[in-house]
Amino acid sequence: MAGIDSLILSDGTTSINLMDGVNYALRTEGWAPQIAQRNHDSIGGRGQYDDVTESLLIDIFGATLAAMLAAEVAISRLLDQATRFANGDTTVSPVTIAITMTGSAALSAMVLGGSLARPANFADRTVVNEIEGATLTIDRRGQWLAAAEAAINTTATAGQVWSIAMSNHAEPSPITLDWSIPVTTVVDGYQFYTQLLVLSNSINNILVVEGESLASGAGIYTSGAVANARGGNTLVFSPTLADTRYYTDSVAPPAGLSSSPGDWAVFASGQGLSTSWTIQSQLLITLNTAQVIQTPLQPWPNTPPSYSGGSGNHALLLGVVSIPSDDAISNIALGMMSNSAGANKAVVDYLVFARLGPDTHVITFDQYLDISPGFGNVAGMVERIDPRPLSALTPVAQIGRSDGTKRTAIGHQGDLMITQRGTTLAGIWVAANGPRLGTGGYSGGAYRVVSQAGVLHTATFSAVRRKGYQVPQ
Amino acid sequence: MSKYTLHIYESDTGGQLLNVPASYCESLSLAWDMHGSADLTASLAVPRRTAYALYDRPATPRVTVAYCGSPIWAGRLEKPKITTGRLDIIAGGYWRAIDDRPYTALWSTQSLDQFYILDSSISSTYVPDMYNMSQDAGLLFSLKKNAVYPSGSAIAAFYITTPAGMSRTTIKRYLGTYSAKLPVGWTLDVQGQTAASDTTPFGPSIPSATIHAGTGLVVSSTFDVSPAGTVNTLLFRLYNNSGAPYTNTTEDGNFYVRITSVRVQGTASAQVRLSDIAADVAANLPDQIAGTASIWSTSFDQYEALYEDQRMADTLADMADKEQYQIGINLQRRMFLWPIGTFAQDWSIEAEDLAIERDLNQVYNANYATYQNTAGRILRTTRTTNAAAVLRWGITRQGVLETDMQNSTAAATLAAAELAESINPQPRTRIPVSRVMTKQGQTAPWHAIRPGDNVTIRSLPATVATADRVRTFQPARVQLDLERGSAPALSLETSTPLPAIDLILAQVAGGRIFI
Repeated sequence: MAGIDSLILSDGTTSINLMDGVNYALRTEGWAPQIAQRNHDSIGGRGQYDDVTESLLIDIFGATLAAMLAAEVAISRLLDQATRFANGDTTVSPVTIAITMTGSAALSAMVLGGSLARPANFADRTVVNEIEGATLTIDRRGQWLAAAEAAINTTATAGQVWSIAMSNHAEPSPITLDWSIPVTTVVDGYQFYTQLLVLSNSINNILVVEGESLASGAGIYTSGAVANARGGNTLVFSPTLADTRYYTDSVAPPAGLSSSPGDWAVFASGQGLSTSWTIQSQLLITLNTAQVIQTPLQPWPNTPPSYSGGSGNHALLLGVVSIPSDDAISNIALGMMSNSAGANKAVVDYLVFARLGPDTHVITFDQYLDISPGFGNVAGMVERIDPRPLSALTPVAQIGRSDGTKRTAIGHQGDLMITQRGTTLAGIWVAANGPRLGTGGYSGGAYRVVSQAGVLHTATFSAVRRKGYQVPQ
Repeated sequence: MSKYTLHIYESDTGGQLLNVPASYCESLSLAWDMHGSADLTASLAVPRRTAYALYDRPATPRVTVAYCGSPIWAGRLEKPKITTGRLDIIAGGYWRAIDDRPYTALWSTQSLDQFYILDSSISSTYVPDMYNMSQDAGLLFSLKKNAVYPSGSAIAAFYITTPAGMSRTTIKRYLGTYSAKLPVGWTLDVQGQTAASDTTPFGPSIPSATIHAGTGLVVSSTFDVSPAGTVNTLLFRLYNNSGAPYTNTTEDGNFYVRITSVRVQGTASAQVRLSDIAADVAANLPDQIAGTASIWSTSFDQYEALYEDQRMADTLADMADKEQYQIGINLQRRMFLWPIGTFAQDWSIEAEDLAIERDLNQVYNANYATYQNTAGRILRTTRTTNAAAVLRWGITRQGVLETDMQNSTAAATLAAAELAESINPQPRTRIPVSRVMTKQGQTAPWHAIRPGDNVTIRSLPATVATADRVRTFQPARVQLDLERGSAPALSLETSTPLPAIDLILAQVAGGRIFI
């Protein structure tokens, strides 16, 4: 068929080209390829496009009746296998369908099931070893995906916005992202507290405000110098009274915020310094029209008792604010409240503003609730988010070796179906060292990740993209 | 735009169940009420083997819903249901954990029903038959004519004892008023006992506190004692303490003691407050409550706060409601208590539809409270009328708040709070919302509204003169329904009044207002 060179069903071992001309042929006017539609899901985990169902009319034939039937059975078995896999049977491999347009590379989509129906003239046509006009129905993922591109790397410390330049591609494309974590030479290792990863398709969608810029200089909010804190200082909250809300100084918004209308999620990286009392925070944004947008008070997580070493760093979602297109922001401030008065109740190192959109992804790795494996005397440890669009039904977050061995899934919150669009993948990693796992571990780096030597860890972020297509090209 | 994701954990502090990824979730309905996260239902397309693994967990799983990778709802898995190819779950917010165990504690009581006459079967030192004793109008003792009372024995006593198995406190304070006319040499005192009243003989005594020594004259006074030691039983005793037998030659009732307004507290504090009780419940009861977040001091003195085997969630909620406080459990499983509206945000909504019903029979624009004197007689506070509400409705409907209090001030305070709520009737409505905005009109996330926030309906007729007042209300419950392939559906349920909204709608229907 002019324009389409091949259409291959495969599980990696068995491959069937439905256009091979030996056992299979796609009938003229036998297929109207479906175009996936952007879904309306408000529940995450399945990407941006709906699954589709293809219906094809094919001929199946062979040199002998047995060869014809074997060709038919091969399709049927692959469809059955795809259905089993989609039903959660991990003892079988996933099945994909790959299409190759003339002059282009193959594009693939995972098959979720399907059926093969014999035509009414089945019995009559078997005398010539042919099934003429069988109906093949295939349920598949909506997007066609190209082969994985070569990994592109960049480096950044925690709290630093990074970006990776990519060749331009207009459609959202799944990304597998690795980032390296420090190695310790002691077997007891360490673990992170909450990590936050923000990814977007523009560095302008990720903005940072230093916590200390909100300090008034004395009294309730002061600036405190902390080794390896972002900017070298933090905002320290020392309320005079319990259960009283105090506001920081108002400061100018980060450059680019007031000129970027839209919905922005705002996170605070810091910690409440106790296992017992409760700190709550909110964000206030004042518009040029003197109107104030407040987010509800959010409680900082307390350090769970199972952790040693006192408090822990968290990335707290202060809220989502909508920046108007016909107004501008004059300043921002924080409101905080503690149910216990006194010095050093909470510390904020920095704020992250993330502009929300289909290609902005926010994921937390919440070791407040999920203690991940410790990091020991192993080189090349990475964390990974893998949408696994062709190999699994669900995306996964993992930790393990960069060579792919000894990986294990880790707990997370948020949508792991991460994508990139355009020419840039930008991100920020909000993370700090957590407590040691044993007496030999280390727990420095209160607000940003440091190496065992106490040096700020420079992580390598490595992105592998599969270009996504609604329409095969 | 961001998406909502469902996550399930082994337990409150356990790891995530990674075999139930967010992508399995087909539909999700989550709600918040005044107590924090309320209820959640979800339907997951889960392989049957995974479903059974979740069904048969060794601990109670924790369920969260995240937005931007951060939890916005948290609770516990209460009811997993397995069907073909599907797992349906029902989860409840941690406020429900308050009811996991019953609560028994004496904080304060003025009830004479809690007092008993100590008879000889418990201790032969006590001979109530030699006295006239009753609890009809306070604790009343009087001497009988011609009775011979040995010194130091043949004691008369009323006692009150703490509930068995009480989780917190002993008797820390008692106070009251008495009127007495006793012969010289007679003593009214109060003695504490460590042991409960049903233990014989009683355990070590706490040194007694003399309330009154007889003079032969009528004396009225008060007492307020904070006993030292561990007091589980309190005895109000009357006895001959003269050192010699005493024969009463006067008529029955000539010599007497009447104790009224008696109050026994499990705390030495001047007041028994909801904030203290709530903090104690959080600290002593449920496994899943991690402590307190912010407990703001309440001011209302809880005169009757004696709990025996009580499930406290509704009790605490009612007490908070009466004081116009909000009590609940936050996402960190910590209890909060603060005045309603303290942290309320302002939102605007576009309502898809309005179907509101209000019943005149729920309107009360005047009221009073009933309370009791120490004799158990029902008394009534001064009737209070809200003139503006009477003018507005054109009729006066008077409500009654029945209390079992013995304090008229406290009863009147409650009545005033009740009146403030009832001058406008409770509309029964659930408002589907098509858009959530900040007060300034900027789009906000669907889940941004919390119960108790101030929500203004923008799509009511603009020709209504008092539109701003009419259109703003405080939802008592917020429910967000999510389903794959569909836009989110948000609905708000009201509790506090939407003043005159039905009247306006009726006017619209009647053609008096043109829209």
